[in-house]
This record gives sequence, C-alpha cells and structure tokens, in this order.
Amino acid sequence: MKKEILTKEPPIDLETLEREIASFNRKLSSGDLIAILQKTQDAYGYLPRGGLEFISRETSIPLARIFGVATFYAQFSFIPKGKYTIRVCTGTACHVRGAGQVVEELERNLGIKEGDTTKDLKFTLQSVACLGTCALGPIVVVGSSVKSGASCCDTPFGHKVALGDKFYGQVAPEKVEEILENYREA
Amino acid sequence: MDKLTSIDALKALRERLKKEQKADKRPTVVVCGGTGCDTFGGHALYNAFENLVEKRQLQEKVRLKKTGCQGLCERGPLVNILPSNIFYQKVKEQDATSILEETALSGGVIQKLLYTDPNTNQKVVYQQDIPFYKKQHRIVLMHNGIIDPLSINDYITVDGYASLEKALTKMTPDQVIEEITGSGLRGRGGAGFSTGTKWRFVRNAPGDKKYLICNGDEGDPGAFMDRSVLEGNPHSVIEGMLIAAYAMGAQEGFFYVRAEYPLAVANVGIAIQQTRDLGLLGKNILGSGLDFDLEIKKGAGAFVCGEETALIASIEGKRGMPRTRPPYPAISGLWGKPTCINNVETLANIPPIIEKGAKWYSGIGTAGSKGTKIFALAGNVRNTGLVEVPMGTTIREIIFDIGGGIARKRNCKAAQIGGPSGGCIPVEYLDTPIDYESLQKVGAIMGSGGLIVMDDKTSMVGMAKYFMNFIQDESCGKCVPCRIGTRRMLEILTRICDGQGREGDVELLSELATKIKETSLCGLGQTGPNPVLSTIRYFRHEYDDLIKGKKPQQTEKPSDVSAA
Ligand SMILES: Cc1cc2nc3c(=O)[nH]c(=O)nc-3n(C[C@H](O)[C@H](O)[C@H](O)COP(=O)(O)O)c2cc1C
Ligand code: FES
Repeated sequence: MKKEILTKEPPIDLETLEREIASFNRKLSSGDLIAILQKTQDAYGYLPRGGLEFISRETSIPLARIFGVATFYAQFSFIPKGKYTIRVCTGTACHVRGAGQVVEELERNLGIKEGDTTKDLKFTLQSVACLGTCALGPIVVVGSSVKSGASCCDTPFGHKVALGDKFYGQVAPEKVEEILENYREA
Repeated sequence: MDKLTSIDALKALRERLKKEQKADKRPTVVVCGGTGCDTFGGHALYNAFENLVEKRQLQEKVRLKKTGCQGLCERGPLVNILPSNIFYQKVKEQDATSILEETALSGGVIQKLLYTDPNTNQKVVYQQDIPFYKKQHRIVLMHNGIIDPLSINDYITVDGYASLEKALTKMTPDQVIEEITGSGLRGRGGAGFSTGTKWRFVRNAPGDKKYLICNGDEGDPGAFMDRSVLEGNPHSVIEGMLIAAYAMGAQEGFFYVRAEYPLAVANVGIAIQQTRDLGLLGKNILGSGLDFDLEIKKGAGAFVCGEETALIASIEGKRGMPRTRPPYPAISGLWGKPTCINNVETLANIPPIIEKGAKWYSGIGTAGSKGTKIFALAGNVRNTGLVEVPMGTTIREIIFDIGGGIARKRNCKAAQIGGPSGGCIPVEYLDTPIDYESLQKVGAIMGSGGLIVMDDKTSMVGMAKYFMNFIQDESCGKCVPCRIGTRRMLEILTRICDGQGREGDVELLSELATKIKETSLCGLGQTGPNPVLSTIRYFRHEYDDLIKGKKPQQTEKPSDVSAA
C-alpha cells in the first residue's frame, strides 16, 4: 500500500493531543502506540507530522518506528481528509452485488478517485474491505473524519449515532446523489 | 451495583433477577439493534417506541428492549413481541403506534408487517415458523436477539455466568480442559485446531504469566458472525474467556476487535466495565482466588492481523507482520509469554459446553466436526443474514431451505466458502456437508464462516481476480513468494479479464499458486491462491473462453439488487 506524506503542513493545536494522551491516565508504553495513533487520527482527521513528533517526545518511541507502524495500517492517513469520509465497501458480498458500479458512480459524482479528497475539503472517498453489514450490500458509510471526544464507554444507547457514522444499505448507483445530498449543505 | 464477593452472592442475584422477571407480566417489544437493522433505521425505530411509551405513560404496561442481531438482516428492521413471539419485518417508524396498540397491548396481528414466505406466498406470524429460523440450531446465537447486550442482568437472568460458577466450584482446571477436549470443539477462526488441545499446551507451558487473546479481527470480507456475537451477546464471550483463563492459568486477556466494528467495540467495552463492576473481573473473582482482567485493542485495518503472530505484533504496538512458527504462541506469544488465541465464536461455545457437558456437545454434528457453525449468508440469495446450523448440514440446505434460494429467479452458480483463503464450490457439489474435512476435499475450507452465494451472472475469473487483488493488497510484504508471487498472479488474472490472456496462462497461474502455497511464511500466502485454484478446477472453461477472446461475463448492475 502506498501512502502519501505531506511535505509542508498547516500548524496544528497540540492541546487536543495532550488531552488525548492524558486520558490514558498512565505512563504510555509501546503497546499503546496504535491506540494513540487512532486517537490522534480521530482528533485531527489525519496524522499530522507535528503530532507524531509530539508523541515521539512523550513516549520516547523513535519517530521512525512511529512512521513504520503508521504506514503499515490502512486506517491511518498522513494528509488531511475531507469533512466527511465516505467509505464504500468493496468486500466480497458487496462486490457480487455490484459495489464496483457504486464506486464508479461516487468517483464520477465527486470528480475524484478512490482514496482522494475533493478540492473543497468536503469529502474523502475510501474503499474498504467489509464493514460487517454484508447481508445488505452494497454498503456505503458516511461519517465525520474528525471524531471529537465521545469515547466508546460513556454512550449507553445508540452510541453509533454518537460516533457519527451513518450506514446506507443496498445502495444502487442511482441512490448515490441522494446520499450525498444529506451532507452537501450541512 | 455492589461487587459480588462470593459464588453464593452471584447465585442469589440470579435468583432475585429471575423472580423479578417472572413477576413482570408486561409484554415486551423487542427491536433489533444490530448494525444491519440499524442501516434500515433500527435505532430510530426504537427511539420512536420510546417516545410513544413515554408520551402515553405506558411504562407500566409494556417493556421495550433493544437486542443484538436477530439474523434475518435482509428483512430489517425486525420487531418481535414477547411472550407471543409475533414477528414483524421491514418495520417503519410510523408503524410503532399500531404495533404498540394493536399487538403489544391487545394481542392482535398486523398482517402487512408479517413475513411472507416467498415460496408459498403464505404469511407467517411467529418467528419460529419462518423457514429461515426453523432449520437452524442456535447454541451460540441462542440469546442473540433475546437479551439486551448492554445489560449484564439480562445475561445473568438467562443463566449467564452459571457455567463460570460451575467451573470454579465443581471442576478443576484440568477437568475443564478435559471437558472441552472431549466435546470435540475445534477452533472457529479457520484452522480448526482442537480447542482443548490448545488449552492443554498453554496450561503446560512453563511460566507464571500467561495471556489469553480473543481474536475478533474477522478479516474475511463477507463474514460478520463475530461482529454479531460481540455486538449482541458480549458477555457470552467474556464468560468463555473467564473459563479459559481459569483452565489455563492466564491472568490477562485482550479483545482484539476490528476498528470497522464501532458498535462491537462499544458493546464489548460496556460489557467489560459491567463485569468488572460486578466483581467478575479483577482480583479474586467471586472469592475463588481467580485473578483475571480484560482490555480491548482496536485493529487498524490490516487483514493479516487476524493471523495469530501478526495479531500479537499488533497488540505489542508494532507493524502487524507474522513470524515463523515454531515457537508457537502457546509457548512464546505476547511479550514472549505463553499465549492462547481463540476466535470469538470458539469462546462463545465454551459456556454452553461447560453447562451441558461434552457428551451433549459431541452428540451434535459429524464424526470429525462437532457442534454448530454460524455462517454469514450473503450475496445473491434471498434471505441474507446470520444462520447457525449443526455441522454436517449441506450447503444446499443453507442456501435453499434457510436462505430461500437465489434472488430474482436466477440460478445458483457457486458458493464461496472460506473467503480469501477458501474456494468456490460449484452447484454440482452443493450437497457437500459442512464439516472441516468435506469442505477441504472440494477445494474450500471452513474458514471463519463467510458464505457468499453467486448466481449465474457472476464471472468466476472475475471472482478469482477480485480475491487475488485483495490478497496482493493485504500481503504484508515480509516474505518474497507472497509479496511478489501474488502480484504476478494478479497481473496474469487482470490480463485474462481484459481479454489479453495468453495460451499457457492458466498453467502458469497453477504453477505460481502451488509455489506460493508451498513457500509462504504465513497462512495468508499459504492459502491466498486457493480461490484461483478452485475456480480453475471447476470453471476452467471460463478462463479458456476469455483467453480465446470471447467476451467476459458482466457482473451485475446493482440497480436490481434489492428487487429480490
Ligand atoms: C491471513 C489470516 C487471517 C486470519 N484471520 C482471522 C480472523 O479474522 N479471525 C480469527 O479468529 N482467526 C483468523 N485467523 C486464524 C488465526 O491465526 C488463529 O488460528 C485463530 O484465531 C485461532 O483461534 P481458534 O483456534 O479459536 O480458531 C487468520 C489466519 C490467517 C493466516
Ligand atoms: S462485504 Fe460489504 S459489508 Fe461485508
């Protein structure tokens, strides 16, 4: 998997990250690295270099190792994402039900290729292999790229709503515009 | 809630809860809260019920409950009225009022919300009479769709944690292992290794510190059994882990769950917290001297992390790359300590086995494969969803009797079992019984339980290319055969699909496939070529047709998908 890395990057506010790290309530060890990276990505929508340098200083994990880990996993991105991330499932079950055409339609509609972000920084289009709702394929999930705060354990009911991801099932290419409508204005 | 400090206290709590439930005569409206039903508005529907009950002050008259996946995802959102078991499907928010008034409070049946059997056109009133449910044998899924996954009390009421109680009071760790070995339970994560034997290895491994990991990575694209169990009945897996920890002497456990499953992560997190609050996790559990605690680790989107040594690397915060075995994790696993890794479904099978005994469990299934297996039924089949069947059930029974046959009056062409490590079974072999050995004989594997049905419009070379693309993308790159070999295979498959295939390509593919299988470091490469080999074995003519320049078969337009 190839990953793009920004050479110049906008300044970020490290306070958010400091708070995330403090929320672990203990001295961080190398076993926590992936969890910190996940929190960073949720907080900023991507992994800013400044953030990674900060993590390296806080945890004494070499920056090279942090990059090594972050580039390995598909979840992490080094460039800012659009306000909303659209994930379209290309898993087997969705594939046999025509996910390919849904990807094509999304690409056509948004004018970007899978993996890219629209110029107005509104949408990022990502294909993923299986979202676990295979019975209802093709599946499209839309959610904010930045997931603020809401940790999983303090939302008793409807936490998925709190996490802000909306699942759309049995998506046909004709339905793509209808789905995007919901996010264009907001 | 106060911490329970003795087994008797847990017993007393269960008695009290059961009594309370018995005294509660209110009908219950059960709404499915699984990710599937929510896609069609399950949570919104539940909220509509909640608002109604509040507005009309019906709290004394009716109970509401949100459960995990009930299985028949295709027909969601699902609503079940208890105790009558009247079953409604494709329920909309605006139906809430009539369901409350006409069914929950008056016992009537609303015809338009009933399930219609597509084969007989008959309406079916009760859940248990729907063919989809009738042929299933639910052990692991027994309480999915009945209990509220976020209520530990609900789980305790259905005899939850009674198996833990039994293990701690009536069995030695060795007896627990003997029971599991005797049950014939084999790992549900794919390889089918005897669970009891694995536990024995870890128990006998030298060292005081031992780990237990629940593998909830569920990487097979098209499989969602583990997600549904984690979402719908997380306590059953926690109880299985507690019993496993007691048997092996493990003090710490991890749930490794895919990040793509936010609801599963959330529900497991809540369940762990409740279990800890009640004193069933932590130090000196129920005064028995058992110490065990659990933590969740979220995956970060890498299929190979389902492989046990890669999973361990990932928990250690490293790149998720597998390593050579031996040493096996049972001897040297997480942080070099003896580690047992079990799949979600394997662990969820433990409490019923301890409760009912090895003899009962080994009475279900076939000679070599005991118990039941959950399948995620998806693709071009009418009733997609989750089904649990005894081992030995044929693929045909699953697709036609439970799944209702092929959508849109098409014909079945093949069934894909075992995901990227498995194979496509052609329609001639649909009478193959589901057990580890029979599936292997026809070129597939049990895998984790993805079962994807393909109709006659599906291009099998296209499927082979699809899986090879997946494997090539997910190869971690550590070993050469897998990194480079899968790339070459993908290139050949791509050119065949693009009408540029050459004479001899199929032979080349077979040769590459065999070499990659023989020489790869981990299971990813060792099984990755299987989909190609199985399509060559059964659908060679499709390869030849494409190479000879006939037009490729088109995959379906999704527009007519929903019109089942
Ligand atoms: C590439 C690859 C992916 C795997 N993915 C999973 C998975 O997603 N879930 C799982 O339980 N086992 C998976 N396994 C199997 C595990 O390595 C391991 O055998 C299993 O978790 C052991 O549990 P069990 O004995 O209960 O089956 C995978 C294996 C390989 C080679
Ligand atoms: S294959 Fe698309 S959700 Fe599983």
